Amino acid sequence: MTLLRVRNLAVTYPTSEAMVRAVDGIDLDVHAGEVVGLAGESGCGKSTLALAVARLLPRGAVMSADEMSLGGTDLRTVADEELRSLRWRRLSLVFQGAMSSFNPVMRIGDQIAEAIRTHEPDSYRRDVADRVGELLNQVGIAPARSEDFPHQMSGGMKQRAMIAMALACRPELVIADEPTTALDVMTQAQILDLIRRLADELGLAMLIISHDLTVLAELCDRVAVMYAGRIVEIGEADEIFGAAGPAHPYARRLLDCYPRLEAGQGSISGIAGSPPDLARPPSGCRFHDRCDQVIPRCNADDPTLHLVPGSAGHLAACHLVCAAQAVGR
Amino acid sequence: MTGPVINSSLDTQPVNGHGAGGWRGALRQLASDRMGRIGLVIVATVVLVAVAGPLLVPYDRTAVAASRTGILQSPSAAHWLGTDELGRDILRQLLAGTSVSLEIGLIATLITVLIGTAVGVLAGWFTGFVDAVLMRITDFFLVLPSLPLMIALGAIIGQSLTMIVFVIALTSWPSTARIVRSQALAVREREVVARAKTVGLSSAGILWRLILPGVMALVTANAVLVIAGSILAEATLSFLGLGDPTRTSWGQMLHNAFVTGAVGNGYWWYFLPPGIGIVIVVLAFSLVGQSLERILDPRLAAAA
Amino acid sequence: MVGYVGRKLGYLVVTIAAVLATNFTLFHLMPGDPVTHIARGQHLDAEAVARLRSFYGLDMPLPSQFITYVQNLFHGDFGWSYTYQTSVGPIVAKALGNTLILVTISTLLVIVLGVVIGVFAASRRGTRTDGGLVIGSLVFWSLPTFWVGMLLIFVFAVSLGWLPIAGMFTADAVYPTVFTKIADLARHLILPTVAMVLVDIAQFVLISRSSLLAVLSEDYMTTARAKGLTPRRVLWRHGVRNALLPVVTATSLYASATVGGTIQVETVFSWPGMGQLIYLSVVRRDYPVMEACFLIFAIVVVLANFASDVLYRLLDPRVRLT
Repeated sequence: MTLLRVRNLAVTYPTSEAMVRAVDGIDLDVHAGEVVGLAGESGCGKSTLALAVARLLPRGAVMSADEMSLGGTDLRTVADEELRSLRWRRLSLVFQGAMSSFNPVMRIGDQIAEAIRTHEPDSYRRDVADRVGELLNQVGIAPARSEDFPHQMSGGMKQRAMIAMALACRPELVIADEPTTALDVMTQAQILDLIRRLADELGLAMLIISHDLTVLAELCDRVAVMYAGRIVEIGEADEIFGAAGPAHPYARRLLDCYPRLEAGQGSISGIAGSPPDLARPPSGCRFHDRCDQVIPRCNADDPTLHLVPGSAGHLAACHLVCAAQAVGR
Repeated sequence: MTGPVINSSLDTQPVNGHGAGGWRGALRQLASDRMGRIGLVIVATVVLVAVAGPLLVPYDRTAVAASRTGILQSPSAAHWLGTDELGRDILRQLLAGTSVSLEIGLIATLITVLIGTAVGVLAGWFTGFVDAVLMRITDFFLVLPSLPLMIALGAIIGQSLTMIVFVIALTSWPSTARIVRSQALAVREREVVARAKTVGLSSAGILWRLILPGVMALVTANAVLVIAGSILAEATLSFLGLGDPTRTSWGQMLHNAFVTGAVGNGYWWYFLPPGIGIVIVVLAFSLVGQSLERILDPRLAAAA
Repeated sequence: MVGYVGRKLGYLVVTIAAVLATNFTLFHLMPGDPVTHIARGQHLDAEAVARLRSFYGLDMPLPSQFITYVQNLFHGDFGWSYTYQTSVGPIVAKALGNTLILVTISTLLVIVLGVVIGVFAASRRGTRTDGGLVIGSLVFWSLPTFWVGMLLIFVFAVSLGWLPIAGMFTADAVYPTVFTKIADLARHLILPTVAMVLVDIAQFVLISRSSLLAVLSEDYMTTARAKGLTPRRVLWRHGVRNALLPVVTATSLYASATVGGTIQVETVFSWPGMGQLIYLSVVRRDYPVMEACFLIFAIVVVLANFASDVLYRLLDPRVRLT
């Protein structure tokens, strides 16, 4: 059952010089109980996508989509009050940098309780307090720490508290934006374990956003790779991280950026060049100026997502991969 | 919202402490900022009036009215802004007062900035004991309420414009010192300074060549705001009767107007113009000062 | 927290001691000791001057003069006024009461209105309303308080005749009931309060506005919205609550500014408070009164600073527990 359906989502930011299309025509599905990953470099629009879905874009941003629905609700046109009601109850977020995502003058427990009480205003204090304790326990924090202020918790602990808070109203979908960035490697591993465990236990649908493909490899059922506001590859995690590796040249280079234990003494490479200026996107394929396998057609023709030959559901937007395929979506 | 860019608040500014382009760049930015531009224009006009006014429309203190009918006249063709209680032309007084008010403001500011910068730089550079002592003194002066202090000193020392300049500077230098000190501390942490030390530059050399230029930008922005405050302070002190009755400043005019009962009797031409003059000048300097602060201090620019 | 308050109290005591010392230095050591001034006006001979000096204790060594001075203060003896020919203490006490009436009301208005307007401006950031409020605040900050007073009197008292010109009560008025007395007081209070509020409010508007703007861009504001809280709760419980901290810091600067405003407003409106008292003492060169006024003003500001420090500590848990 498809929980989140997004079709042709575009987000534009007006800047002082021009309009920047941070998200340029994205299609994305998240099914119930599924963990989907969204990968890409900084600035490719992944966070914008998350904010757009949650209707949390900053003032001035312009959003358009052919479809954007959560369950039966059309997120584009939903009224303010209903939007507020479905927030956190059906869709919650875990933000990157939990360091500053908590109100510094309110106790952690109170902030979690606030979420619960907003959506269940008739609950008893005692019940809410118990719930908060349970939630903290679930993520491995002693319930007594609910009296703490954010500055009294370590980074990893705050991230876990954020996760606990995100689960407070038992949402259908959780969007996690860079949940492990800004944490040290040890803590990262702990958080990843936690997320995986919770997703399994609670049957959560999750959309996990990260620039770190290794994180997504561990957690996700399906992975999408974004570049310059577009999804350039999407498919089952097994296929993308499998033996053959990703189909799209950018995704391959992205994966090469992270060392793999089995690969022996390989060298880590970066990707030369930088992402295109989204105010003035280049003609043809947006990656063509940095691609090491570019062919003449890439300069002129902007490739769309096509089925990778020999797969069932693995799509990539590259002329090389899907040269003659004319199969639509 | 974008990827995992760690937001660094470490400043990566050039040594001279302000945005790219140096002084000319700052001036250009100032001119492009609407409020700054308006402020600059007004300041320039006022300076022009201060300099040219007395030359073109000279004011003679002794040109008093010949008879009772000449005093406290409302505006007329002969006296565009009317006359005061001694029959003297108010417009001319107003113009003459421009330069006096400006002069006091500027001199007081100069002294304030000198003392404040010196204290701030020394405290920020030497830190430790020197810093603690200097800051205790600074904080103490900050806590003393300025107007009562100025009044008390004025009454004791005696009325004169020199006294006014002195007391204004005495009560203004602490806040400048604090601002300079934080900036000096920040500059001190910059790589350039560490490198200079390894190269063997003396403390005095570093102070002079690196720290001082590094704080100059902020000092300038602060100085402009101090000018605004000094002009207001002089007006207040003169109004309260601590000014020099022989020199016409706007504050002095307002003092005369008040004790003559201009308000109660409705002689609006007497107390309105000097006040408007003060407001315009102070506002102009505030606009420029706030603009400069926004341009030169990146942290403020983000919040504006 | 207790340790912090203890330390701050200690610092407070030291500061007050320094204020006393400064006061003493100003008024007893500076050129123009009281006897000379009296003598000047009355053409006394050397013997009379010597006796006067003895009476005022000016022939004793300085340190003991200071000790006597402090001792006197603790007994409530602030000296003898030249002009009123009576003990300074009661004069100052009465004036202080009158000033407190004016200052309490205007301070409350300044802080509450200032913050509300500042929050309003921040929530309308970028619109012309916001721009107008910022410029308006700058204009109001540039107004000399005493001149605003003069304008208000001219417009509302002299030209329109709606409100009294000056003073705290109507002269020679007889009040049948307490309420009519309070009503008269209120009528006299309006213009002076407006004068004080108009100029000082600008500072609070600007500070709360910029503080809230900085807070609005913080991540936890997005979190609050994401949780589905009502816009009002997001703004006040999360936004303003954090934005208040710099405003509290600002109140300590405000205390000093209020003193200046009080002096000007009371002078212009002939309000019989400390401000007018110190003004008149300057006009009449009544040094004991001037000295007592200065001391009270300084101590009040020091206490206000202390209170605002403690309040800040209470409000910000990040510093409370360290």
